[in-house]
Amino acid sequence: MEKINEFLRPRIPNDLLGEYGSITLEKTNHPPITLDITNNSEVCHLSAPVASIPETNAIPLLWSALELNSLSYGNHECWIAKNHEEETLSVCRNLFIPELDTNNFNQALDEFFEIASGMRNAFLIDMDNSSLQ
Amino acid sequence: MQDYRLQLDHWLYAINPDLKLDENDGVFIETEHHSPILISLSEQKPICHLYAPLPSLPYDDLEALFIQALELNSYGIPLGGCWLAWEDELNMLCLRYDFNLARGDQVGFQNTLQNFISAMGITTSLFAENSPQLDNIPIQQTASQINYQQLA
Repeated sequence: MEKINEFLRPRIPNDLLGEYGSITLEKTNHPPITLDITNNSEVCHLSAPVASIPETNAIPLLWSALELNSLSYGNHECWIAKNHEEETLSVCRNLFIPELDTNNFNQALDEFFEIASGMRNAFLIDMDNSSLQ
Repeated sequence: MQDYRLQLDHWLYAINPDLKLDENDGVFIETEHHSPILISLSEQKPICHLYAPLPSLPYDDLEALFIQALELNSYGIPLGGCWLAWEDELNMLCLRYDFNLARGDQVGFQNTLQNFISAMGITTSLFAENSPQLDNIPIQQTASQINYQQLA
């Protein structure tokens, strides 16, 4: 956890991972990214909300998400999941902490902001199209 | 990519001398109780993709099936870092994992395969239950964690 705080310092000097190893990062016009690290884990889990699941006719959205999971998102090792307690789909990625330094960690975060943003826009277009049909 | 093809062929040979990537850089591995696993070498990156079709899931209620699949994908738990995806060509859900050849070794690859087969069993049994209690599922060590530990 200390290592991730060190990597985060150039980006957010006064706001670091809390007691539960979680923090949410924001960037204008992008979905927020949540970082989660469990104790003694070597994996930093990133997630960002990309779509809300509609109360009716949810199948097209869920189907699209699972179809996207068959791709590798330009080999960025991401996948889409549903949050257990929310009707939201998130894009997720795991970073292996021992391989990270300040530069490649922040680069990975910036990449993830772009992936999440692109995916959110794609889902919005997809939903607009399906509601027109 | 040629080096990674040789490396993967070497690791496959260690599992079974009959296993070898075909001209499309793919190979099927038969499993005892589940569907065969397709291993396919990426054209762009040092990654091999693992796919396993899941034909025995309850496809009669697609919404419930899709929601459960996407919830299982959360945090990569409990599927050990694997995730579920829809394969249009097969018209069914598949279990997926990407193994990074650049940071893996033969032992890590074999452990990943073993873990992937376990995740196939977990997935099938979870969907066989009507309303699985996700909170009560034992957390499996992720495939990626196993690989990394082998490298450490």
